[in-house]
Amino acid sequence: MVDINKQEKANILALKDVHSFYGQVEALRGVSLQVKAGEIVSLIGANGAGKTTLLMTICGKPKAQKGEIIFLNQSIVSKPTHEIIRLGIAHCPEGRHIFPKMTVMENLLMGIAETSKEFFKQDLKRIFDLFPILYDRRTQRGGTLSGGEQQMLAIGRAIISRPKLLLLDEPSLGLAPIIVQKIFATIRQLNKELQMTILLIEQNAYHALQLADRAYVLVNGYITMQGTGQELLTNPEISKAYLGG
Amino acid sequence: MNINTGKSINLKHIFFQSLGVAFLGAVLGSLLIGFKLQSRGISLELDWRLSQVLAVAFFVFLGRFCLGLQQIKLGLLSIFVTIAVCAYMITAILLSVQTPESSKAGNHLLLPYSDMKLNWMTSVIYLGLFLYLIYRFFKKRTVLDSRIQNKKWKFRLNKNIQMILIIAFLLLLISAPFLQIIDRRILNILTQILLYIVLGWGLSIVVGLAGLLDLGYVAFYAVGAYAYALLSLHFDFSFWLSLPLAGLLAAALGIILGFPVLRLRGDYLAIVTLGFGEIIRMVLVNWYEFTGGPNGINQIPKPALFGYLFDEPKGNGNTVSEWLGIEYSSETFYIFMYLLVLSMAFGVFWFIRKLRRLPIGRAWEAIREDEIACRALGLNPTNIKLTAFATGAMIAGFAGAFFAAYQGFISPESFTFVESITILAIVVLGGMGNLFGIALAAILLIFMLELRDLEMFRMLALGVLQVFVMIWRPHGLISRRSPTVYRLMSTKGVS
Ligand SMILES: Nc1ncnc2c1ncn2[C@@H]1O[C@H](COP(=O)(O)OP(=O)(O)OP(=O)(O)O)[C@@H](O)[C@H]1O
Ligand SMILES: [Mg+2]
Repeated sequence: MVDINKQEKANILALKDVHSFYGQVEALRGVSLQVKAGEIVSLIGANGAGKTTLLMTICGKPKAQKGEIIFLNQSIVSKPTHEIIRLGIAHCPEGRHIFPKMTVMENLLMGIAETSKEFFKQDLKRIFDLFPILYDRRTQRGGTLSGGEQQMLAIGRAIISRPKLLLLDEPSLGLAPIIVQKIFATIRQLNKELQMTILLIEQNAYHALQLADRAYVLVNGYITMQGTGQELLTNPEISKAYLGG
Repeated sequence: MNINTGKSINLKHIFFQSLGVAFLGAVLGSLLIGFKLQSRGISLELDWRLSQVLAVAFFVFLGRFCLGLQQIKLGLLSIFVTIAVCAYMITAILLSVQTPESSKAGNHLLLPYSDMKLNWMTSVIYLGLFLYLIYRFFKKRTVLDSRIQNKKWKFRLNKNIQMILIIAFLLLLISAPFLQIIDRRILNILTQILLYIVLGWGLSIVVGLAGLLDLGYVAFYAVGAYAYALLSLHFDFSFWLSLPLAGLLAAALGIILGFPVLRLRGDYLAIVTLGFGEIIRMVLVNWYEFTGGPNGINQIPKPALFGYLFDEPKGNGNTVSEWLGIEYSSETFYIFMYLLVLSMAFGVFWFIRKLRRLPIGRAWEAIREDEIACRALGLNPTNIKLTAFATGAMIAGFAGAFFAAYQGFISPESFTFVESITILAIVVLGGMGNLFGIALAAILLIFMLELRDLEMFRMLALGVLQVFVMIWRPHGLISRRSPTVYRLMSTKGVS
């Protein structure tokens, strides 16, 4: 689905020739990409391609050694992580990272910066509308939730502070197909109903490309291909390498 | 002997290797402890402590040999050997305790050398090791026990009865010093217990909530105590003015120390804080002009109550006894101090409970649970840890000021590493973050430490208690963590 209007929208996030290192190892070798307002952008790639590294670099840990990262018209390369997040980027890290001993409610509250009760109520209501299951489980400890519930909690916790950009790192990791369907449906809902801009990282290329307005393919720290979700889905190379035939 | 490892490790090999290591041990041992300066008449002579060095060599040999046994999968044998050694040492120590001081010759028959000191450290280590090894044999049982751990505390009292019980308990606490059965000694123990409860609660912010293992907590306690002592002696500051200052000073020190140190994790943090605690103690010992060195500081003024002193009346009407119209007794001061530390404990309790429900308190727990998640949520881990460190330090500072005022005398002796460990033991035994558990642990521990009849065995008993708690309640006496939000839980989403 090529939407002409979206091409004209402003960049929320833009990376220009970003290089990132772990010690001597170069994990990103000049990545450029854009995320525009209201888009879902997917980034697919094999294990170890550097997808997680890309998200972490956007969040400032590790810092980009070279290149430029622009978020809402300001450079964030040199900012510390907590400031970058405060600017309106929500990061839902790989492996969910729920606080296991805290209740669902407390986990959600950790995502809110403001402390006024009104904010609490509105934001919590929004999350519970989105994930009714979390309301039922609100007094349960995070660590005792099922994998799918934990993922919903992780997403809920990330978006409770009304970010301008949501970074999702492999939300389908280790989940049963039916739950994966549900998670992707939720991501679409976030985008359509709450107009959330999303950068989605996935191994599950088929789902990620179907969902995406645009998509990038990351191989060994390079972007090797980009296009609309549909273009990449029908690309024979992609279907050979990532869709199993 | 053991073919399938593929290496040429066998008993003979291990034996000779152990001999080599033992020889090294003997050489090093004679350098370190081998000689003793002895004054004979006018000349000083060096005596060679043959038996000590031999004991060192023997134990090094045994240790290395047991390690070797583990390598060739004879670990069970090595455990037996260790148990045997422990049992032997414990028997020897117990025997030497029972023999009266006078019959010196007979009392060390079983000990490896005659002037081996019986100190609590060795006793605790032997006993701890012994119990741990025994426990290893019966380990399977505890797997079943873990189910019991999760069982909910079903018994719940009616809200009103609960309230009445709590109020009755508080009244009892407040009126305790006026009761007949509470004499000076017991009042002193109660005050000590309350002081340790306050310290335990303070440390529980750092260790229990924020998960930062701090082995030098006593440093902040010392800073608080010396702050009050020096401020009151040199600048005539009153206790009530010094108390907040002591807290602030300790907190400031916490922040200064925290900045470089809190980047470290786990073991490294523990070691650095341990070193820090020792440095502070060294400064106290060596900065003679300022701190009085090892002699400490004497005659620290007692706190006054609304300007009235706890002194013997001299007729000018400025003492508490004249003010209240009661007969002068030194007891009054101790009752007052008990009530003071009691209210301090209430204050700290309330403060921590409040903090836990604020975003900062939740952030402390979150940092302990998952630092990556905290970063992803835009929290600044360094700041969060610093506040935890500083808050804990502040409470220790308050406790220190109280301690100085209560004792009237302080010296570096009171702020040793063992003190840090005692406070840490209270926190760990109590269940890390649980305030009631910590109070319970403090009561248990301090009662044990204070009991005169146990004198000789109190550190042994402490070791036993630790081991037993580790076995039966590995998460502490009360490990329940109560949620920090209640009221918002009724918020219902409309979907
Ligand atoms: N902390 C680290 N230190 C050193 N190297 C790292 C570190 N984290 C990742 N790497 C390396 O960087 C490369 C990219 O890793 P990254 O985690 O970004 O891959 P990924 O695309 O997210 O893979 P996956 O799909 O398995 O999550 C890998 O070669 C990895 O070994
Ligand atoms: Mg990854």
